[in-house]
Amino acid sequence: MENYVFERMKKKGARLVTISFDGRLIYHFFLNGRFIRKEVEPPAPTLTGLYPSAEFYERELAEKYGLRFEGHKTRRLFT
Amino acid sequence: MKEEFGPHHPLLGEPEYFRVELEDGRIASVDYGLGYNYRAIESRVRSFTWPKAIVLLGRICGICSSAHTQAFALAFERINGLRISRREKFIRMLGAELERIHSHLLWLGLLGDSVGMDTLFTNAWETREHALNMLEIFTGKRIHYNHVSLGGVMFDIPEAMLPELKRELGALKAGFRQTRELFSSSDVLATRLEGIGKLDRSMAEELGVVGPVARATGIRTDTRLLGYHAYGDVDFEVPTRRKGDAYARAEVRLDEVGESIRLVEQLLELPRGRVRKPNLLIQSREGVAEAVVEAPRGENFHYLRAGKLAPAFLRVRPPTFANLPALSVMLKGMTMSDLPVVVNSLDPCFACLDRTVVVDRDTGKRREVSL
Repeated sequence: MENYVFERMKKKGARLVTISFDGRLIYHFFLNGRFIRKEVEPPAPTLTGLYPSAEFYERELAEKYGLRFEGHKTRRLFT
Repeated sequence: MKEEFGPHHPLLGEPEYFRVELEDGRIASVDYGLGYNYRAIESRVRSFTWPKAIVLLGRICGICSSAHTQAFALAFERINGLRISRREKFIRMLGAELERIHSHLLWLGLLGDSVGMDTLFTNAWETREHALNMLEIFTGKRIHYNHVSLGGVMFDIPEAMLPELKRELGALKAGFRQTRELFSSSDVLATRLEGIGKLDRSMAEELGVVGPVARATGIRTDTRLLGYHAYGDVDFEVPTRRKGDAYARAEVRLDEVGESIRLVEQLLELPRGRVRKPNLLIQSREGVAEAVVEAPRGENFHYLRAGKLAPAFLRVRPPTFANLPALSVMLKGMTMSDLPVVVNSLDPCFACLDRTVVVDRDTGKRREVSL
């Protein structure tokens, strides 16, 4: 389900702005001068296949909150 | 071969760590170690009441402190449906543009220093002084000028201050003309910077880079074009370049300083309007909002969930965090001696960027980060 939403965002040409975690995962996209917010219950699949820049956001959340993203390759910590 | 760069290195001004893998003397991959400058502001701000929170937000970064307070204030105002007067918008924009000028000139000086051209270093910083002086005249401070309040600005600009500001602006313009000439007439810079740290447009779009780094690849992106504050009513260009190398990024930033000086000229013709005193007992509705402003380094994004007395959740996505994935693309195939120059050409701001580790994912144990 989530994958379908994200794939549609990618097709429309949206840019991934950031991923945050506030009880739920919050994905922000930027499309046609507007911000689009998508909320997802964790655990979520990794977005790195669609958006390479998601790697950093996912790593950050993994380190800060112990979240796991299915299919995320890098397991090394930032520090 | 593995090579380590930082966190304390004579060629790296800020505490950050790069783990570089070399093949035949060329960089094959780069990984980063972050967390040397971490202050947990996103979580600390939750225990601060609103008027204190905005002061703390200004302390995220010494260089783009106005950008963070403005994004935070915009998100707050969006949640509460507050509108600010045109005069207040102009005063906010004046702070933001002076910040852009001083940040870019600071960076230009550091670039000169990193390629061994000290004339540029001293000249750019001398020019920067005039921008700092202007900030000092109307906010009282050179750095951490908290001139944005929730629902307005902290200080009005009285008429009597304008001649002084205009005099400084004249000096800034004259100084910048000289700095610009020094930059474009230098063969050292052109030969050192051209063709290194290359990023092409399709890659930049793929990685979602922002700010001057994106503009140097030909993408015309600037959040000021969305028209927040009164940017829709003033005249400015968004400079772009096609090449995407370190020299193009330098040229874009220099053009931006020129545009910002033009903007400051327009902004000093302040419109009439009310400027309210900051409300120290301000409370908020509950709600969420996003806000974005163009910081000197690019798009600065804040996502805020407001509680009544204090922020309930804040997420800051500074521009450097969006640009960092591009660094490993830029560095591929470069030599170790290019690394400081390429890192510098990104204009990274690690104070905004820094994140740290407290949880071990595999065992769930908390652990301290050793520096």
